[in-house]
Amino acid sequence: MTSTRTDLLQGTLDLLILKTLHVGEPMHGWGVAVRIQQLSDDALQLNQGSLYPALHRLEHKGWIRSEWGTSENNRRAKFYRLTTLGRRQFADQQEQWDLFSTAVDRILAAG
Amino acid sequence: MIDALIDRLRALRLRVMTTLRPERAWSDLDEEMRFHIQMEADRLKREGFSPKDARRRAMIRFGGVHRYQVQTREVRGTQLGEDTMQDIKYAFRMILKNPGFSAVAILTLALGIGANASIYTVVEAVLLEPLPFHEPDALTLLWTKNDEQNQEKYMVSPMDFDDWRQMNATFESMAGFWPTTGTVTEVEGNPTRVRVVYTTENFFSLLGAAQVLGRTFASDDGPGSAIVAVLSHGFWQRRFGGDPAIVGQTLTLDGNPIEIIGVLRAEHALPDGTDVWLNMTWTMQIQSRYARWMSAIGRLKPDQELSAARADMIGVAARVEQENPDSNRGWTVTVQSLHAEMVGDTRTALLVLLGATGLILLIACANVANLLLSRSEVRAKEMAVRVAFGAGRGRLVRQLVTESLLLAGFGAALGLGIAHLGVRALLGLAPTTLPAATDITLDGTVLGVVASVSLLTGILFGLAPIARLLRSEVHSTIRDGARSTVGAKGHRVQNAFVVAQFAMALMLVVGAGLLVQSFENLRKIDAGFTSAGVVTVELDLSQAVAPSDMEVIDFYEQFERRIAELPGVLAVGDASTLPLGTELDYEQTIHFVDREIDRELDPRAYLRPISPGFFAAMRTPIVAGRDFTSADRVDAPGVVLINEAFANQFFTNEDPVGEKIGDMRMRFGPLGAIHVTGAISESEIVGVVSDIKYAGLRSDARPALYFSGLQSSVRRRTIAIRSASASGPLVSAVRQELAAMNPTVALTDIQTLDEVMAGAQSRDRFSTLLLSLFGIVALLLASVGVYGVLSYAVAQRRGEVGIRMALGADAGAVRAMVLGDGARLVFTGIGVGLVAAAALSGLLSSQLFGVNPREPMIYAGVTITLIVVGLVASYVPAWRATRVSPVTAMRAE
Repeated sequence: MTSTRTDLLQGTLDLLILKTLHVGEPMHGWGVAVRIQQLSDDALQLNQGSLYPALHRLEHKGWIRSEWGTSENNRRAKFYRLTTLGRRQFADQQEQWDLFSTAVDRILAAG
Repeated sequence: MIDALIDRLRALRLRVMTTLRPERAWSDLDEEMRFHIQMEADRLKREGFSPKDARRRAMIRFGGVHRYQVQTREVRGTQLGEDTMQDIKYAFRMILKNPGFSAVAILTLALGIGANASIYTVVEAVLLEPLPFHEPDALTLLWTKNDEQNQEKYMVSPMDFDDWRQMNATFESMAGFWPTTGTVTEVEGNPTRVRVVYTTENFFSLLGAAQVLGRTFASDDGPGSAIVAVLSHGFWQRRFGGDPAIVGQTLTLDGNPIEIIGVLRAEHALPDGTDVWLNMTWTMQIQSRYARWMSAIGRLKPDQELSAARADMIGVAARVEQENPDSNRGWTVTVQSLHAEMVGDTRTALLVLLGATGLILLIACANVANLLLSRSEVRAKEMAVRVAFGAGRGRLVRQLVTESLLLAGFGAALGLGIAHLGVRALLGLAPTTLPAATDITLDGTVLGVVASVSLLTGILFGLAPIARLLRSEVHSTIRDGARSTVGAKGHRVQNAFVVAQFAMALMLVVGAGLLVQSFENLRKIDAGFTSAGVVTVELDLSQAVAPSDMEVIDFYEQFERRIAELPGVLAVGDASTLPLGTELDYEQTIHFVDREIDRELDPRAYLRPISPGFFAAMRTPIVAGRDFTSADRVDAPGVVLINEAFANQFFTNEDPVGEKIGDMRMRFGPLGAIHVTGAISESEIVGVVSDIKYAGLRSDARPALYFSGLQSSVRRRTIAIRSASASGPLVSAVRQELAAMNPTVALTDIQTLDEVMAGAQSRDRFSTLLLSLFGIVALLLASVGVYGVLSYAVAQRRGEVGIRMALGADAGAVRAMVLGDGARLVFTGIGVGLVAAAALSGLLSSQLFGVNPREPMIYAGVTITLIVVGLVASYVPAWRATRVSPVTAMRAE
């Protein structure tokens, strides 16, 4: 089991959350969790609870903002969306990630 | 851009809200997590799990609610805290890394904050603090005024006062009061002299003054009622130990039993220092219009201005004058706000001090700004490197602000200490005439304002490295930074600061120099007597002790004879008024029996009864004729001595001895405080005595007549005792003699003449000392300023200096170069300062005695001092520049 599931690298969760919210629709925490799992074809297995410290960290930085609303099954839920600042950060972080992963790939390929 | 800013602000609000109302944030988080697990469980149920199983699996996938709650809480709030801790740690490291820089910055700020907060506290307490009464701005004092007689603020007669309060249209109410003294005794004697004030029954209600016990005067305590007493808080504490059952007890004042009806609140004591207030039980109309002895206070109607009240009262006085042309000719009214009157001439002195501290604060801020700017040269490099390594600019700003705040915080803390000591020191040095001096404590608002100004300076200039960074490209800063070229603009600002510092320091030192010179002049003034070795004591004989005028004269004569026989006593004599004292000096119109006084001369003189031994005790020389002797008694012909001012005024080239002064028995107040006994109708001038200063050291002596104390019945006198022995044992011996004569008479106001002299100089000593202190501080700060700027310039030009020296420039030339830079700044500053000082020193003129505010010698002396200080401060960095080894300097490139 564990061999097919990858633990998240430190800090990448932020990037994944930004990516998920980048699509545009406001999403609640559970939605974000489900979407990440779907997009990674269940390759990334994360404790869903770990999303919340990350969501709140991002909100405190002003990269995302939240609003209480009504969920698809008519319950009260908190919805998150990306801010302008977050959009800019997402671009930066994506770029850095690309640099980083290319570099790592290159090293590994060389090996 | 704007959107991003709004996002930041929103995040900030969120952080603040989470901090302020955490419970709300946590309940939101609970709800959010519950929702999540519910959704997950629902999904699992749809996939076919039993409800119980679905819930269990949802919980497992969530990974522990509590754990993530804790983690989330840590995110909230502490993100900011963690960064701050990091900043503080880093700032501490930076401060410790540059101990010299840090110490100078902290000390500078501390001095600036401390000096300003303490001075401003005193100034505010005295000048700006409202009086503790109900709507104090409406309170005014009223006097009579007579230009012919040169009286600006004279007492009012009760009859005139009665007319004023009936006829005016601008005052809500007016009250009369009469400060005098009395002696309080108990069954077993124990006499105490007290300050008594008789007031009209509306006095306290007019002020809005309140009692701590009992009551104050009511409307039925007016004319015809029984006399009752209100005690001051201090007197109640001192004399009765704060006895809570004091109301209803009896006070024995001058032998009369008076019921105590209340105790006044401490801060409501008016006039200051009063012990007992008594109601005036007589009607105003029984008095003569000539007898002007009462003081008056009024409360303006709510919508009335002081100027309107003046116009109104001048009109009232004119009508009273019309109806009473004899008694009121030339008499009009002076109206002044109570506050302005109480602050009095302290105002200028304090404003000068305030201005001086303002300059100190400016110098201190300039210094801190300069230090920070100098450092920004170095820091710009560091900042650029950190940006290159990915530090956010916002984060850097925060870190710099933290550093500045930490520096400023240390400075402020130290400043607080200095301010505390400062206020205490100021009050210790303060002249006793400083109003309300005892109530002054460090003012929090003042401290806050001053500290904020200093902090702001620190923060503003602490950000200079960032400003630099935002202007420039990171890459070029790093590249150029290695070579430490100095932005010309940055240097211009710093140079301007040094110039300004020297200019301000020069102004302060010139001010101090002028005051020191003035104080020297003041000390050299001949007050007309020799103060060393003289003790003075005061007595007041009540009607109970000495019912008749003759008994008063006998009492003093006998008492002084007893004192004269004490061991060590060289001379003894009494006087109604002590020189340089604050007691009333009586001035009256005079006429000669055998000659006319020139109309242009002011025919008035001060009248002062003194006993035969007084001038001997004071060592005031008799310049012509003779002194009084024990033969100049009531049954002998009337005799007077005149002072030199009198002789010069009325006898230009003639001998005054032998001339006669006409009848001038004096009547003051309802008790007839001073008069020459009735049998004497004219008095011969028997001698001329050297001038004595009565109204302060700065004032010229005015014409005065001295009566023989053996021919006058003044009940309250000051006895001057010149003695070769120490004052302590002497006073107790004098006390014993008095007790042997009459145990109910109190000995008061015991002081040496040296103390009286010191008191007369105290205000000048105070301002001189303070301004000198400021001058020194300013000089110190300014030299630190020029030293700092030159040091940094030298450090930055190390490479250049190294090359020059490698190429053969000799050390002298390099030193001259650096010194030249310093000298340019110092000279420019001095030039600016000289102009400013010459322009502003006029403001000091009221504080100066016998000194021209533009005295060239002082300006020259100060200029030389500043040049020396400036060049010494410049020489150190210049010397250091030549110590640079060319090799090291160039390797540093």
